[in-house]
Amino acid sequence: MGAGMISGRGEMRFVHIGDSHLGLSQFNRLADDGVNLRERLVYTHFLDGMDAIIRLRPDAVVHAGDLFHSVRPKTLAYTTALEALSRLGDAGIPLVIIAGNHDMKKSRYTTSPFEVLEYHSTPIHAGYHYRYEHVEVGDTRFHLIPNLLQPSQYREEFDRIELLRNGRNVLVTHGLASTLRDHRLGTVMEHEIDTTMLSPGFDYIALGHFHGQKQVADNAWYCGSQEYITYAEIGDTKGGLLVDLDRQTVDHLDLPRTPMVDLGELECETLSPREVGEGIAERAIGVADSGQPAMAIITLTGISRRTFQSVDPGLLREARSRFLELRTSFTSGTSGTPLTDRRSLTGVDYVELFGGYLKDQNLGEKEHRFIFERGSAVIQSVMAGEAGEEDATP
Amino acid sequence: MMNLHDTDLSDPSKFRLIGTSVLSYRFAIPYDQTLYVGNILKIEDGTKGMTFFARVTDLAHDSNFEDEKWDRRAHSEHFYGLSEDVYLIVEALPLGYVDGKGVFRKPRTLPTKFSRVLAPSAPDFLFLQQVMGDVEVGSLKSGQEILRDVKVSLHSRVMPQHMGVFATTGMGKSNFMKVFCASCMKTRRFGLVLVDPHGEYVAGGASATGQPTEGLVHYQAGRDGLSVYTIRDEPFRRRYSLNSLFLEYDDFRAPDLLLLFDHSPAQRELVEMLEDVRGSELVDLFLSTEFDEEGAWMARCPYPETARKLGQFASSTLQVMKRRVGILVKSNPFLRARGSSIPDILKDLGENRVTLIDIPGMGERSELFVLSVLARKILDRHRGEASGWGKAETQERKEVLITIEEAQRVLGSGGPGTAVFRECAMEGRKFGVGLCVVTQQPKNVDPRVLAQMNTFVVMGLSDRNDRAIIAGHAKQDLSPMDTEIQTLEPGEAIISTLGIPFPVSTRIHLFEEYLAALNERKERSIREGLDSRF
Repeated sequence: MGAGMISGRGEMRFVHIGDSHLGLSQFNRLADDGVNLRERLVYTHFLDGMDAIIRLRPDAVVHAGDLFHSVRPKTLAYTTALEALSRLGDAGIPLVIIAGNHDMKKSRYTTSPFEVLEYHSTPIHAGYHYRYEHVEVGDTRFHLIPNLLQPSQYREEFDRIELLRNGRNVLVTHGLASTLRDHRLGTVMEHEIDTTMLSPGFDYIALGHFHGQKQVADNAWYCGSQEYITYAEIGDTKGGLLVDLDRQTVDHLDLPRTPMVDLGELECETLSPREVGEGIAERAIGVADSGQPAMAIITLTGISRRTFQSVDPGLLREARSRFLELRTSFTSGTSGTPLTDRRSLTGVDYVELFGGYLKDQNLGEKEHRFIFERGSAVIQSVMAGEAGEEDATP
Repeated sequence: MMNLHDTDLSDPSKFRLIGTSVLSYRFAIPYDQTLYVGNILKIEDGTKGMTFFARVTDLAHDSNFEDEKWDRRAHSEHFYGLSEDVYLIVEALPLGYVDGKGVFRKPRTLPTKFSRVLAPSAPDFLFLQQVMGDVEVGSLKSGQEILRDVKVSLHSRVMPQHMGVFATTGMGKSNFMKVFCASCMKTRRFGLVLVDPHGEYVAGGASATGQPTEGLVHYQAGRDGLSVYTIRDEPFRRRYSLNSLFLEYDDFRAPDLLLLFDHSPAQRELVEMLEDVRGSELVDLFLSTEFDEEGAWMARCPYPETARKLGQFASSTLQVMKRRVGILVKSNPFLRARGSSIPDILKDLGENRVTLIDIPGMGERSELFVLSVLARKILDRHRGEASGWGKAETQERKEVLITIEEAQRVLGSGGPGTAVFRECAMEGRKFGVGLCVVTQQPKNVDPRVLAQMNTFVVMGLSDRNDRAIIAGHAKQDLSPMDTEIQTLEPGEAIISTLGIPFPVSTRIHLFEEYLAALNERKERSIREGLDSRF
């Protein structure tokens, strides 16, 4: 990544990371210890990434939110975070962190996971209350605005900021820059950061929430997530950013992650089910072994549902076994219209997704059953309506 | 000769309609009556059960004497005392009539001869509430009288179909725009964008007469309907909760330069060729390249495709362009490489806010640059939305009104630099984009643009050609009101718009007074909403 210029004076060199989503669990592969393999890989890569960062000897590590995938993290997510804190503490590197929309407590009666981290002996400068806070590391003031309950609160808290006159100022916040409005993730409490907040008054603005590495103002960057969280991110740059306020540079930092591979398009209109199966297997075998399980996606164009259902399951199983997950995406005939695109509710089993989401929320049995039953009923009714509409489409 | 009996001036029957046609009324009234051009009169037709209304357009002396020179002969007053045979003739323009069911209709019929003519009171104008819109701007004016209870309100549905505000300096144009903005903040039926290079609309300042004025941020009750993007310092921005204004290089397109500088044919050709090149590429290319006559710069240029296009032009032409791009970047502190406020501005307009671009002290070039960028972005977005597929028909169409002050600068006849504004004027209505054209020289505005306008707010024009142009393009005939337009005082306007069946003479609210009325909140009873039963 080309170095971008930032303004300022004094000495401060830090690593900007974010959106670690510790506790994210996907797919149905298990690690040797019985933990979901995807989840295990997220932990391993996070700790390996922290080691890589420590080797750079930065003055601080700045995490721009969503350290945890949920506000009630799993035990392994906690232990991973605590282990990372230990390693940073041993290296004498302070951690500056804010809560994102995933790990911000959503009510005043919930305990923030960051309160647990603060028991650790390593100093942690965490912004996770519903307000602006700041912390100084050396001659640099880090202004922390965590994910807030209401969108309007962002500007209220922003206007409370007092810049350090004789030092550096770094804003750390979490949300979607309004210039990226088209990239909404559609998650809970996804708030917008308007361009007023991307003020040139800061030497650097460390942003979290958007999972691709991206510069959105002369002095404002999204570092991107370390991992590919969804298939929509296949084109994104992943990793962290090494920010040097003294040299006025921002450089890409490659961090360990689960690879995501695009197996390309397979034109299926004239192929038999067997040929489709063999084509998928051939593409899967053609992927160079990187030594670690990858996520992969293949797009089948011009294929009918009937043809796909007739593909030899053995061939598909063989192809899938080579990856952490192999996602098949379908487009119709010559038009290239996705058969299971995001606009079509019928292409995805939302009840199953909802169930998976609830499982991660560590709810009580009675609460879980109630929410799942009510939620599933609503989703099914919507899906039934959508299916009706689709059938009616010429 | 003998003196006739003096007229009984208190006899209402002396006020009577005597002619002339469905398009023009004539009254005779006693010679001592004080009437003004612009007075609205009521004609009660007891025979037909209708009440007609007409506006005075002219006043003259007349008499029943055959001797045309009776009033010029020596001792004429001695011979002819003012009597029933000497009276005033009033020419009036029919406005319409209220039928037996109380419905106001256009004047397609005549009142009965000798119908009584009366001066109406405020309750007589209740019928006007049927035809008034929702964007209040002032009170009805009848001659010299201001009927404070009869509000003049424009129709918000008509606003994005282009609007013209015609006023010379000191006639209350800024006050009108602030009142209009405040009403738009209140109703929030469409987005309104306004570029203010004088910094007078946000928090007030001084009027043309030096009086301190208030600004739109002082309309606290309607603050949600206002969004301000400013270049002012941080304390000012925080005090009023304003947004910072930023444009990024990619917001800029080469044709913007046509608006800001005079161009030779070769330079113009160059600009047109670069129309589709991204702004960031243009700025980087021109600012980082030293153009030499041999063309060696082309090999070093990081944008080979654009360099190939530029290679056809003389290095002197490229040098001029380099200087101009440099001026654009240096003279606009709100322009930066990345991070534009445009998405926020479009969002605010989509939420029907009055969006004020506050760039005090920035000069004409900056104002036109911001306007040009905004107009293009707004038009592009609305075009995109209009061409989108699969949209439910019930989805509300977003409408935006773009205000252009001193519009003759960009809407004069000719010049490709004004293409985006001309597109807005000619095609904008289809996509919900309207122009609010403010000018003191309507004769210098492209007549094709004037012809597109459905609302005219005329606040005094001294130039006969200007008045003729306006009268020729308004949807309602303004020519009979020429005298009234000439005699308009500051703060007064003739408003001709769709929805209101005749041009109305209006006293525009004084912004500060209107603000006080708007900010007055009805005290809610402490018991309101509570269950009063056991």
